[in-house]
Amino acid sequence: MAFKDISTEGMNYVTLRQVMDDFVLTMDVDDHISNINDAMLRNVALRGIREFGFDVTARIKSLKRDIDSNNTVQLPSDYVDLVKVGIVGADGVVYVLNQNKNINYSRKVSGTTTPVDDKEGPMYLEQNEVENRLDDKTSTNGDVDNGDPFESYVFRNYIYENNLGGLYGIGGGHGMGEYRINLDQNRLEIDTSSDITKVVIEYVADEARSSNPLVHVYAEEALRAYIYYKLCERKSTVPANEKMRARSEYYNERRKAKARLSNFTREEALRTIRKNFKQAPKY
Amino acid sequence: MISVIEVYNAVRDLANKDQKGFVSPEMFNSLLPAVQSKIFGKIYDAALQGKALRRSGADLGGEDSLYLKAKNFISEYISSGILQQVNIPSIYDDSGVYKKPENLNRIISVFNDESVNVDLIYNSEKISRILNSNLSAPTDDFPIGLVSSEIEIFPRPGSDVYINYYRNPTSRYETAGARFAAGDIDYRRQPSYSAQTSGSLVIPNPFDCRAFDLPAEFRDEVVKEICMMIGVSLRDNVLMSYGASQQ
Repeated sequence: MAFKDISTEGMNYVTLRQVMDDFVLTMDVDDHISNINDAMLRNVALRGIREFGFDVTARIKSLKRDIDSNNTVQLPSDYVDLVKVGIVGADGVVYVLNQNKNINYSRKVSGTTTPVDDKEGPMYLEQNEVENRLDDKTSTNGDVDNGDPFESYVFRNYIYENNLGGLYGIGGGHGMGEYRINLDQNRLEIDTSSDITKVVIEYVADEARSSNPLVHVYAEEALRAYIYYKLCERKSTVPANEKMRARSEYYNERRKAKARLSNFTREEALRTIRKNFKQAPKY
Repeated sequence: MISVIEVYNAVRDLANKDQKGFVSPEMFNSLLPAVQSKIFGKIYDAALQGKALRRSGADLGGEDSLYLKAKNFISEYISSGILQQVNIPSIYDDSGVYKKPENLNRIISVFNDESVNVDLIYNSEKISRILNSNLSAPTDDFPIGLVSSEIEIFPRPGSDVYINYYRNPTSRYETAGARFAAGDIDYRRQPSYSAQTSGSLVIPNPFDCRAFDLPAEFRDEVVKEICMMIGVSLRDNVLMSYGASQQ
């Protein structure tokens, strides 16, 4: 399915172009920032959208990806941070995988050194050359306990008719599999049953690099305050008190936007409370 | 519009009343483009002064604002048109090179036929940084134009590109003719005074005269500027100091 421009489908999102045009429209000749150019304005606005995308108006994207043959899943190109990864059941619910920070994603050196222009090292300098590598996730030599090392961590809640493990309430921590984020290779290492071939990744995307950057109307004023603050922040002609005022205005607007967007309702609170009413076995 | 006949008569009377022949129409005409250009620059100066007054809180409000008055004068010179693409080899891929309008003074805006504004960059040093940026790189929705001797637009526009700009002042028709009204702009000529001599009489030819393409409020400034120039030419200190002291 092609890209869907949600800015044309409702009034809850505002495009970057609209924010920029409104900003220039309301700029007066005696403003401190009246002589800025559009390229600078766009750059600052995009940085603002990126900033808001991280912790004010994060747009969570969900993407279904294949599990590669080496039990890895490539992260999306606009990935910033992971929210959840799981598989989708027949009931339409995502059953999340648990994070296991002990899944192995080691590599091994494969002979020759990397040419300087291979972008493997931190900088394209000869002294920063590193050896070529390839994936090697096989087990290491030596004694390895092949039994379940986490067996002892299972909480055995209730034993019925001497059947070990006949549980009324199952302990937490069980998932449909496990994953580990491998930022070195920009992918996920997956450990799950072999019949699962796809996972769903919910992640925070970099809104600033999307083809049509948007900002929620709740955060529109905060973005304008951010643009003004950032534009006058480094101008030597702007008085220090104006810079301070712009800074506090930005943080105030940001706080307001965050409060409006974190819409924790009364119904949500009641639902959470009612979850704690549970039935128990009767003797 | 400022009538060139009125200005000539005023200058002649100031400089030449008793010494007929010193200010000939040819000499007068040779000064007019320079004078018009200087007065045109003063309109921008007036806008700057208005801005300073506004910043200090001394500018009059509303329609009496000096800044708005100067902007109103400048608005007489707003022109628009379609940019003509030229085939000049560019070091950048995916860009379109366009020729500036001949009578361009300053660019106001450049946009395509979907009203998408082209962000203008005058700093050629920054353009390669912009093109390599993964945040500021130009896109179809946010094109960028590098203004140099031409206008280079990134990425290459797929349709016509339009420009709004301030044109250079030219001249206006002194009187109505068959195909034009008095005050219409003549884009081809600078202001000039034309006269016919009949015996000892010098009679202006209004159909061949071209008035100043300047707001009428600047008539006095034009006269003084010409007087100062003629004073220099005639080594006439009185005339020169009159022009200089009044500005």
